[in-house]
Amino acid sequence: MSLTTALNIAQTSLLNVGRQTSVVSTNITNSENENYTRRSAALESLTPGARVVSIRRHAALDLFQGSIRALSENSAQQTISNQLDNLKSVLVGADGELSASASLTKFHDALQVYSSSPSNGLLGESAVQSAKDLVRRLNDASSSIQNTRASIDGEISGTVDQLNDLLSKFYDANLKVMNGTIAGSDINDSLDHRDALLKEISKIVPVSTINRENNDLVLVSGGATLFETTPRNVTFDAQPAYGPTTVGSAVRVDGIQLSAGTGSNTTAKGTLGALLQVRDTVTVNLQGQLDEVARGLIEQFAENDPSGGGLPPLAGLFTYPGGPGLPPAGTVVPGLAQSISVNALFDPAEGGNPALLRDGGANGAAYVENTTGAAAFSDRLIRFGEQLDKPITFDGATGIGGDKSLLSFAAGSVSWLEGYRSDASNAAATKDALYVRLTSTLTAETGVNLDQEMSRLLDLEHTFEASARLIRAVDEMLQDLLAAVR
Amino acid sequence: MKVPYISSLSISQALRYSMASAQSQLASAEREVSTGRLDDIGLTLGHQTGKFISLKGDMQRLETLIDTNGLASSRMKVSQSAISQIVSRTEDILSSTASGVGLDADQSVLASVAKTALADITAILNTSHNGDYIFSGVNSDAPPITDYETGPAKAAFDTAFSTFFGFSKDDAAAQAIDAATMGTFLDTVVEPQFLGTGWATNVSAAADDAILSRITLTQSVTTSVSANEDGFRQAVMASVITVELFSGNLGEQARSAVASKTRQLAGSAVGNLANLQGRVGLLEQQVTSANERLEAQIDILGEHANSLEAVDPYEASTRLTSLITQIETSYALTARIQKLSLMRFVS
Amino acid sequence: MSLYNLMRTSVSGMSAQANRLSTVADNIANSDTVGYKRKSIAFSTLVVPGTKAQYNPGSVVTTVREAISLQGVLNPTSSSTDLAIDGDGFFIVHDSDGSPFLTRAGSFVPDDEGRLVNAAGQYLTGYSYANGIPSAVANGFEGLEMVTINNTDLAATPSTFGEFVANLPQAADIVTGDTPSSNLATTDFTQKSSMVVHDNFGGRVVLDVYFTKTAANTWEVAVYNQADAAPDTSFPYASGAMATTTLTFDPANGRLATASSTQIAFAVPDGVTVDVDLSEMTQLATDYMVIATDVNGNPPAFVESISIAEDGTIYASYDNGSLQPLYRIPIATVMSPDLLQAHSGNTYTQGTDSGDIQIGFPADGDRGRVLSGRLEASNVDIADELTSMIQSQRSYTANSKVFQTGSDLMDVLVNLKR
Repeated sequence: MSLTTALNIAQTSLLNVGRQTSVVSTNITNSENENYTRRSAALESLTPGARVVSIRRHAALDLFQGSIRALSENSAQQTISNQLDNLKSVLVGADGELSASASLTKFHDALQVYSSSPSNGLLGESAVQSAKDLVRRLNDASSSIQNTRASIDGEISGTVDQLNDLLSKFYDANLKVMNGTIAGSDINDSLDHRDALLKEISKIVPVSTINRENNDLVLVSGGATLFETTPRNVTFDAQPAYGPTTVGSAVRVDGIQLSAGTGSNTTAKGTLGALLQVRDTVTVNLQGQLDEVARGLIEQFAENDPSGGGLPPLAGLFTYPGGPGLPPAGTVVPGLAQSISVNALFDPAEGGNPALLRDGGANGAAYVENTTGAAAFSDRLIRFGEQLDKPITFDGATGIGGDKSLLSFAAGSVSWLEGYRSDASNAAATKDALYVRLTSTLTAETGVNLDQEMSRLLDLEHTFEASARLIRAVDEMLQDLLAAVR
Repeated sequence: MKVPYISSLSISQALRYSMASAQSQLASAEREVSTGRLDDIGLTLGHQTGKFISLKGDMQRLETLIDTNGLASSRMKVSQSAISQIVSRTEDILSSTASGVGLDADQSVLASVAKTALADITAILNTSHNGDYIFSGVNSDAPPITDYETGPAKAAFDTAFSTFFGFSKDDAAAQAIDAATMGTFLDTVVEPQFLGTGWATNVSAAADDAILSRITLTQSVTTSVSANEDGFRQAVMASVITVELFSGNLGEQARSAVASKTRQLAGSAVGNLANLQGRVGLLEQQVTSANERLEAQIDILGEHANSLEAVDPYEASTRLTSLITQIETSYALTARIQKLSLMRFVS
Repeated sequence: MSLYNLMRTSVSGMSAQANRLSTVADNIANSDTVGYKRKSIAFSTLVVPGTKAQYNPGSVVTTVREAISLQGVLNPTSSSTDLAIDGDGFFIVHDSDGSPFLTRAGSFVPDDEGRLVNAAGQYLTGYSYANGIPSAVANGFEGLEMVTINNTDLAATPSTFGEFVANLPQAADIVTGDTPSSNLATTDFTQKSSMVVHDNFGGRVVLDVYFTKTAANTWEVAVYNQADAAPDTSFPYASGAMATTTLTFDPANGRLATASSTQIAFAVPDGVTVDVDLSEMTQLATDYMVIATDVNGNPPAFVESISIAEDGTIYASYDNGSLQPLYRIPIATVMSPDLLQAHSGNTYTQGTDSGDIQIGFPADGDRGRVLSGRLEASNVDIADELTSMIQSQRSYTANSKVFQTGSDLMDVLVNLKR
């Protein structure tokens, strides 16, 4: 040990204080950055008299893994919940005013009013008008569902592009981390960046990671490889438009089909699984329910041979492009809600006669029930009104099948959607709470505490002062020595 | 003991999250307090929403039934009063024919009374209500009774008279018709024209089927009376034979036979019409009680729907108050935490 | 003549102190020279035999000592090619003629040819990895070559071996239809992963690896080239499976049965045969989970940076993230480092008494480790030097006084004759 050594050590100390201060200032700068992981500069003794700073990053690996898993689940559930809110607003409205059930009730009322005064042609027109409203509601609801599916499809396409983009960014970030690890340089910023990308990716698909040599990461989603040395392709063919029978194409990660979630408390992790679930399950069920309402209307308002003469029942007030034969009973006909219409023969706007509703006979004289042409013939109208309460068989594939009346089926459809939405919303609250809790634990653990940084800065100031003092002392001693040389 | 580390960000974020959730709950609680209804019914009721919508729909449907029942009731009320008027007209004839049938002058008075009665009965039976002829049965777009004087009934009567007797009623030979022959004429020839098939051909356009009305969701009843009911036919026949046979050249015997037939017909008509009134009364009663049931059902449904969507105002306003308190506490805490910084103590 | 002797002795004393002052001057001049070793003068007596009655003054002889083995402070720097040895030993450098020298001055920088040259213009040498892992020649400079970095573009390395470790779900359904080995459009499989291998040109080939449960505890493994995949469905591939094998698991513990194959080998298109080790695969009742996947080989790439490990290995890290050892820097030691022959530029050669130069690798035995980004400061202490200087000055003055006294006495003696 010598004075020169002392000088050298003091000099190193100044350098270290500088580096430590820069770490503190980086911490302070990033105190509001959620993706920032706090660093601390630790001193290590290397050889006697030389100390170096090593910068440690306070990552909490298990918490981070937990938080990105919760993030995947949360973003999936939020997506489901939001999409259902959207579906509710177009299919049910705030108080059910847009539901098929409400239109059906109005139509029933119009029929009832007409039946009470069947000779009044205006009431007949109003009943047909109400039937047209009902049909338009079904048509509109069906196209809203298909528009929703198309927009979800677009969203999936955009998300897939974003995922591919994130993966290629991840490639660069991963490379930086690996290079930095090999070169032994400070890779903390790169790690922060890579973790932030990982967070973004796990919003879209679930991700599990495998660590390899040199901090290389392999990303696996479900069973599919997402990133291994190079990003894998995530492919998707967007459909430009959706009809009730359109089947959306699958998202493939490295050739493996990404599975859609199931259930209102969804099993999906990441937005893609949730979007697929809404596109391929929820909306398809809702469409099926509307189709069944349409089929029920065609069936219940069919014209029967009043003589019992064995003529087949044919479509009456409500018809569809496959008419006048009735659609097969008890089976959903995809797209019926889109194609159902009010028979032009009944529609005064198209030159039709609303009185056919009272009398029957849209399919020829053999189907006329009011054979005498009595103006106050209400039997048929009353029967129609009552039939809305009579059970028919609905397809179980729609989620609410079985024997029930058209009115209760239509209400059941609302129940199905609202139940799904309510469960999804509750699950979203739960998953959000879990995510928030995990994230706040993570940020509590890895974030920056300003007070601690400030006190560290004070410490550093003192060290700097002391080192500077030391240099001056050595300098004075050497001065004295030099003064001794004459 | 491990001293857990906590970052400044998570201190401020914890409050930020709770603040955001409290504020969104506040908005919803405000709406609930002001409307007294659930803010988002679907979200709260979930699978029960369909039930709620059904209840609302059923209430609407029942109200419509009450409306349409009003129409049926008023139709029956009109029918009821119409029938009473016909009864009184028929009684006029009865009383006129009961008194003198001897004098010629009396005969013409009697004929004219009957003529007025016939016109009245025709007009009453042709009453329309709300665009429907109430006595036409289901054939409500046509007046049930064609005017006797100008319609085919008179011609048919005159032809039948001439065919039966070989001369018209104004012929001098008519004086000689005896009571028995007249009785046979009335029973075998005239009666089928009114009480038999001739009624539909010559007099009535009404359908036998009465108007069917659905008075509850599951119950349909007839709510009109057809002009083809026997009471009306007898009343009309009584007045027709009085008008026709008291205005011709008939002799004493024949007239008394006519008068006795008239009395018999009118008497039976009054009886039948009273029956009819009773039936209509019963129907009215049925509609009224249906209405009462509907009202009761609406009340029950309404209560049920209300129990699903209503918010306890006390609970809601308590929630609102506690939310406001919570938010205020958050504000206060934020302000204090902001002050809690080493920066303030290091200068 | 003892007076003369006396004067000679004091002259020798003066010249010895002058000698010492020279080292002080040199030390102070080089107090900031990297790797400079403090020089000092050791004094010893030269005795002239006399008689019992008469003392014959001898003289002082000086020997230059160098504190070569005293390590200076290792100061941090910002350049990764600044090297210091923490412990015993020397770098071996070549001058421009190719003659070997030893030095501890490690402030190397790459010159225009990529050779690492220090402040004295000497080039760092090491053993090259060009022909495999080098070993040190213990007693000679053979095999050492100048470390040259920049034009060492990496030739791509084709993949030769790899490992794949995953858990196959024990509860998976058995695939009864076509399995991937048949390569039909109707093919069904249980799990799939993919891995990157490199061909002879360093090109990346993505391989699809299919795992198909064909019977209880029996899995078919098939490897396909992803480039041949049919769009969307993957199957059928344009060409058949590159390799298939069957894994059987021991129902007792879910690990591979002893009879099972433990690897899969396939020829990479335009590449060599790759053996992928599957011996760690398991079949347990949990989800499909890839635990490790790794294949060697690397694509062609440019050197992005140089890093030097403590064991003296110079690694080039390439822009694709791979790391390649280029050279290994040896460290020379001698029995007596302080007796090495010094040359300009803080270099040394074997001295007559230093002992033979032994060459070995850093951190080997008592050899020091190589620290990158650090320089050994000179071990001169100014205070010490100033003290020595004052001492020398005083001694010199004292010697001159003795000489003057002798001279005065001579004067007296000469004046006696008058």
